[in-house]
Amino acid sequence: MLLHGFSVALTPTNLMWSALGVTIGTAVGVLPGIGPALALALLLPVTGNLVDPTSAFIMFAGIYYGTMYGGSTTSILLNAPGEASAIASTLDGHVMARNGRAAQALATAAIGSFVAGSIATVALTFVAPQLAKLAILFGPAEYCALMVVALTTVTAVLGDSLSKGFASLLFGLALGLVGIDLQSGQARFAMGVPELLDGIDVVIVAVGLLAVGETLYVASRHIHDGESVMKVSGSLWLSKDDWKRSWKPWLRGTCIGFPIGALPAGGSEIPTFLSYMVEKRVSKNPEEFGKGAIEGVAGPEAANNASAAGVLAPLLSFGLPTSATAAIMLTAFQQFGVQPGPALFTNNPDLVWGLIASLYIGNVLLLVLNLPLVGVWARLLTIPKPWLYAGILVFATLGAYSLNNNLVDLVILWVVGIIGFGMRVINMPVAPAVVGLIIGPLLEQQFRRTLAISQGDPTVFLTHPIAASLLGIALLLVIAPIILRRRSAKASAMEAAHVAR
Amino acid sequence: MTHSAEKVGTAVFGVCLAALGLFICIQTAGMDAGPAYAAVGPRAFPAMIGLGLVLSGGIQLWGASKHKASGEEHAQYDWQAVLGVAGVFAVQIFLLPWLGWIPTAVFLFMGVSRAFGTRTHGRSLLIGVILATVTFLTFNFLLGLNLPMGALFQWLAPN
Repeated sequence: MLLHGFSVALTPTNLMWSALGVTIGTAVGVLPGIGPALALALLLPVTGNLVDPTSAFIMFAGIYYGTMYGGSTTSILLNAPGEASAIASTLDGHVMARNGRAAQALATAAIGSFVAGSIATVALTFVAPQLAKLAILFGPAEYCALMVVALTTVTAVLGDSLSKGFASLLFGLALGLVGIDLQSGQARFAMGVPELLDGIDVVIVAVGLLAVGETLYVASRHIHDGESVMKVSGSLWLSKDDWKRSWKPWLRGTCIGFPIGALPAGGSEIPTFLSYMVEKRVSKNPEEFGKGAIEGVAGPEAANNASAAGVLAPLLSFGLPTSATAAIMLTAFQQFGVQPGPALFTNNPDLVWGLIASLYIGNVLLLVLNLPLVGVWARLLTIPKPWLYAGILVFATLGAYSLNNNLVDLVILWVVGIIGFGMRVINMPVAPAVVGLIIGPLLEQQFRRTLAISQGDPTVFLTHPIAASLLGIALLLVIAPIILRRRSAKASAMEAAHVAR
Repeated sequence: MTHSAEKVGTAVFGVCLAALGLFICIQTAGMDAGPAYAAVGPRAFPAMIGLGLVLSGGIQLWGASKHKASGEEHAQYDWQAVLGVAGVFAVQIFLLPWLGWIPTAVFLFMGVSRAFGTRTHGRSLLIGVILATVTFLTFNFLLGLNLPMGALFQWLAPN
C-alpha cells in the first residue's frame, strides 16, 4: 500500500509539488505571526484551481511540515513563537541563541524534527488504517460522542480559562449554523444575503481571527518596537556532546508527541510542554533548564513534529480535525469533494497513500533545505514589521476574496478580524471557534441522524457502550481540571495558613 | 483609565455573546419546524447553541464583574493604530469593486504600513505597487483566478 503511495508521490510532478510545498511552508513558517493554520488557510485558494487533489494534498503535506520547521527558526532566533506549540522550545532555544549557540539550537531542532517526523510518519502508516477499521464500527451515536470529546479537549484542556474557551467554542458553533440546513433544506440565519446560504467559510474565519486579529493586536501593542534578531554564526552541526545530549530527548519527544496528537484529544501544545517537563525531570542538571539546555529544545521540537503527524491519524480515518490546522486541512478535503473517513482508504488509495508517502519525502527534503540554508531563512526575519504585517493583510484579503470572488467574504473577514482582535485583548482562545465552526455542522448532522434512527429516544447515547464511554471521557475532561485546580488552590491555601501559624 | 482593557472587553464580549444568543433563540422560534416525521428538526441545534450563548455571555459578565488581577493588568493599547488598520481595510473593501485589485491593494499596503508607524512612504509605495501588480498578474494569468479589474478600468480589459 505504502509502496503504491511512493509510486504516486515520486512522480516528477508530485515531487515538484512536494518541494514547492516544503519551500513555501518553511518561508511562511519563518515569518513571525504566521503559524501553520494561517499558512494553510492563505494558500488554500491558490491550490484550489490549480492541480488535481492528490498533487494538492502532497503540496499541502509539504506546507504542513514546512511550517513546523520554519516556526522553530522564528522561536529560536526571535523569541516570537508562531503558535502555542512553539512556546516550549523558545524557553531554552532563545537563551541558547543569546549565548551564541543559535546554530546548535537550530540544528538540534531540525534534526530532531526530522527524526521525530520520520518515526511518527511510520507510526501513522500503521495506525491510520487500523483507526479506519475501527471507524467502520462507529455509528452516528459514536461519531457524535467522539466529536463531543474532540470539542471538549480543544475547549477545556487547552487555554487557561474554561469559560472563555467555552464562549469561543459557542461562537464558532453559532457561525456554523449559518446557511442552508442540509437535512431540511431550510435557510437558517442567512438574513436574506444570498452569499450566506452556503454558510460561512472556515478559511475566512481562520484568516480573520488569526491574520487580521493578529495584525490589529500587533499594531495596538507596538510589539514591533525594539526586537532584535539573533545572528547565526558557526557551522550548523552538532558537537559529539550535543549529539549525546540530544538523541534521547528526540526519541522521548516522539513517544510523547505522536500518541497525544493521534488521540482525538489532539493538539500539539500539551505534548510540547509535557516533553519539556519530562526532560527537565530526567536531566542530571535540571538547573540548566531556562539557561540554554539543549535538551529543552530537542525534546519539545521532536514532540511538536511527532504530534503534527499524529493529528493526521484521526483526520484521515475519522474525518475528525483536532486542531485549527487540521480544521483547515479538512476544509481543503471538502473543497476537492473528498470526504476523509474510513471510506477514503478504499475509495481513494492514491490520495491517502500518496499523501502519507509524501510526508516521508517532505521530511527528507526539509532536512536538506533547512540545515545548510537556515541563514537564508533567518534573513526573512529582518523584514521590517510594518511591511510584514501590511503584506500579511494584503494576502489575507487576496485569499478571502479569491475563495468565492465576492465582497461579502471580505466584509465577514473584516468583522471576524475585529472580533479576533477583541479576543486577543481579553485572552480568549481562538482555536475552539475555528474547530467549532467546522465540527458543528458535522455534529448536528450525526446528532439528528442518531435520533432519527432511535426514533427520538435520546437514551441511545447511554445504551451504546462506545458512545457512553466517550461521553464519560468528555465529562471527565471538563471536570478533572476544575477539581485539580480547586485542590491545588486549597492545598496552597492550607499551606499558607500553616505557614502563617 | 481605571478599568483595564481586559475587564471592559470581557464585559462587552459577555453582552455581545448574550445578545447573539438571544437573537438566535428568537430567529429559531420563528423558524419552520420541518416535517413532523423528523425526530429532530432544524430548530433543536440552534436552540441549544442560542441558550448556551446566553448562559456563556452571563458567565463572562459575571467574571468581568469580579475580575481577578492578571499579568497584563494595565497593558497599553494604541487605539489610533487599531482604528487606522481597521479603517484602511474597510475603505479597501468599499473601493475594490470600483478601482479593482491593484490600486486598492497598494492603498491597503501603504495605509497599514503607515498605521504601524513607517515613515518611508516612498519605499512603501514601491513595495506596494510591486506586490499588488505581481499578485494580480500571477493570480489572473497563471492561476486562472479572478482578481477584479475594477469598474472604472474595465475598458482596459483585453476582451
